[in-house]
Amino acid sequence: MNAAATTRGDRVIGVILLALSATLLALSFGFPPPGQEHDPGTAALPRIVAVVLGLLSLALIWRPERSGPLPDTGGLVQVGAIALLSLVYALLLEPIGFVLASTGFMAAALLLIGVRRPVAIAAVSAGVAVGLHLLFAQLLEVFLPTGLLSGLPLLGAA
Amino acid sequence: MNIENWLIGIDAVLDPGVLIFIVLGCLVGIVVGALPGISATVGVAVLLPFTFSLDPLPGMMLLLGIYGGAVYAGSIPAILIRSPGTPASAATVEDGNAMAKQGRAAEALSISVVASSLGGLAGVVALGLFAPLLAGIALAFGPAEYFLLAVLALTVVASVSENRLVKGLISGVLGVGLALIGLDTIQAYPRLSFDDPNLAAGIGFIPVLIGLFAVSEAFVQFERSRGRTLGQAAVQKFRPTLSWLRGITPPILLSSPIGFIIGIIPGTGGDISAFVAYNEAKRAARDKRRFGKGEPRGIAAAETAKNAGTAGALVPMLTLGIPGDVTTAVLIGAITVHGLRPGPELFTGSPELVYGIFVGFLLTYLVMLVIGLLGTGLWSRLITGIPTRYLWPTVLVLSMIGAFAVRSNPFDVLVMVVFGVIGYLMTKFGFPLAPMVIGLIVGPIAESGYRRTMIIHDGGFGWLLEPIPLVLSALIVLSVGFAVRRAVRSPSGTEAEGDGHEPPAQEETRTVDGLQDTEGTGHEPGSGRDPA
Repeated sequence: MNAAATTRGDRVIGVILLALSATLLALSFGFPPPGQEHDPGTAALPRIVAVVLGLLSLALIWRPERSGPLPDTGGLVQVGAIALLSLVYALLLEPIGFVLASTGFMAAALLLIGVRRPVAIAAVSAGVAVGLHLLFAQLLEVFLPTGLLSGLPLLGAA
Repeated sequence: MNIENWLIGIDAVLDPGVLIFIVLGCLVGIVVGALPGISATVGVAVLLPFTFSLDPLPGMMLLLGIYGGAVYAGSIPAILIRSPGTPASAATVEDGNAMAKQGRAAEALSISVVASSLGGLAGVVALGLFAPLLAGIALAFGPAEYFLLAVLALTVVASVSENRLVKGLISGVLGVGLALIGLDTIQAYPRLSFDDPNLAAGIGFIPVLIGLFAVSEAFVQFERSRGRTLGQAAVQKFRPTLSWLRGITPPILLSSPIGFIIGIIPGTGGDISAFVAYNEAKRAARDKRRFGKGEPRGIAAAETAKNAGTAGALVPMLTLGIPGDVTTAVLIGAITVHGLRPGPELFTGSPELVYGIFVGFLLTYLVMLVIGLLGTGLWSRLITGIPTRYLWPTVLVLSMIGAFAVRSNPFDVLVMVVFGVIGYLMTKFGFPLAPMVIGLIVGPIAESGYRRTMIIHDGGFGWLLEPIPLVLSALIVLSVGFAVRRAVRSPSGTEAEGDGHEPPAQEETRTVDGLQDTEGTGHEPGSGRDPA
């Protein structure tokens, strides 16, 4: 673990937060004035948040704290890959439906986390996706998007 | 005390459709808590959508069973493999694992289940007696009181962020900032929405919460997914005797009120209760040297307090709608999904729910005592046999369902993924997650409270001198002063070390991989805390 590297991380975050607070402060001047007498108005809290966040960012830059060990390159690749997979999953959820999106996501995620047996991957992915769909959409009546499968019996029923 | 309401509550709970969810919740909770990495918060958040189609009471019983069960069961891996399953069990690690290494794992597990259950029972009794009184007082609370309570919750949750005051405050302020997005509560002006209807509707706290806690934890597990095996632990038979029970009774009696009272403070919950009670038991003991080396009384104290704290955390949640800890924040979501609002009106408007929760939560802890005593051997086999590789992808799929199902809105799923990444980065850089969630919930309460107060009092500040606002203001100043004093006393650069008397830092309690990490760095949870 490199102490210098981790304090630098805090400083970078501090600068980003400082920029965020300045943006918020600037935006708050576009907010309408209060509608009632003595109401501090819709811009009051955003300004307080901006100023407090700005002061705290300065405190972070001035006295950065130590953070825990950061992941190595391999770990970063793993995290980046699963984050990207999750994003794609979220974007495909409605267009192709819960069952197909979840089966694909599970298969890719299992591969990524180190499962290497094709039969296990196929069975668990399809099993989890279909099982959860039946449980939620059929038994618990929670709406899940059906996407490409809509109209099919059971799997396509919302 | 209103006997009639209690009878309504008993009647509501004695329905097979409710009882089954008490048992089910408890079982699920024990499994969830025993699994390293899945805390009570993650379990409750991920399983929240199961309750949407249920009636409010059975839904709450399922979630409360998970809450109580998971907070207890987090100590099973804490004792067996030195990895707390939930942060509240961090105080049990030293003594529990020391006993396991001396071949007394079964005894330690028995102490854990007896003390957790008795602490929980005592806490729920106190909750049932105390909450209606507080709700009666809270009926008279106006916007000024709610404003100050919301600020108090924020300052407390930031100040208990173990020597990370600045980062805790940043996390809390960012949470308040997130709540700014969408229509403001008085003028209905769509702040920071950039003409996007999804943003104008506001950021839902359930997707944020699932992202911060469940998704980010899954990301952490993926990061560490290469080459690990679970530790092994053998459990011998142990038969509890009366004299054994007498030995652990004093710490249980001492720790129940401690755990309950600390649990009440908005934003604390069981994590901190356990450490305070442990230190008190140590102070009260004549022979202090055995604490940390396998002292049954230490385990009993920590275990009692953490579950008494779960009941305490329900007090501000039910009576004021202000979460006692992050898990109760999810419970607020579970209640509001049904169109109900936690607060003093709930006590008069839905007595079957409120008193049903009291009676049902009591039953939860009785069920837990039985299940826990019968199943110690089973749980230890379970945590060493679970294929975690199949678990974490499934957790992500369940998280998707949870985020989507609240409003059937794909935008919420995106929000969840984004906060999964943010939560992961926050964990890596030492920012506590809880203040952000608390900020997101209490931000709007604080804002509308303050603005209404100013409108009512014609812009003056005289209301600050009224009795309840004065007390609340004093508590706010105290909590900040306490944190600042501690931050100043702790020299820069050694901040992660602490002095052995306070809860360990975030990364030590939140995850659990010390012993699972075969490529390990020798870093065990808690090793940075108390070298003794």
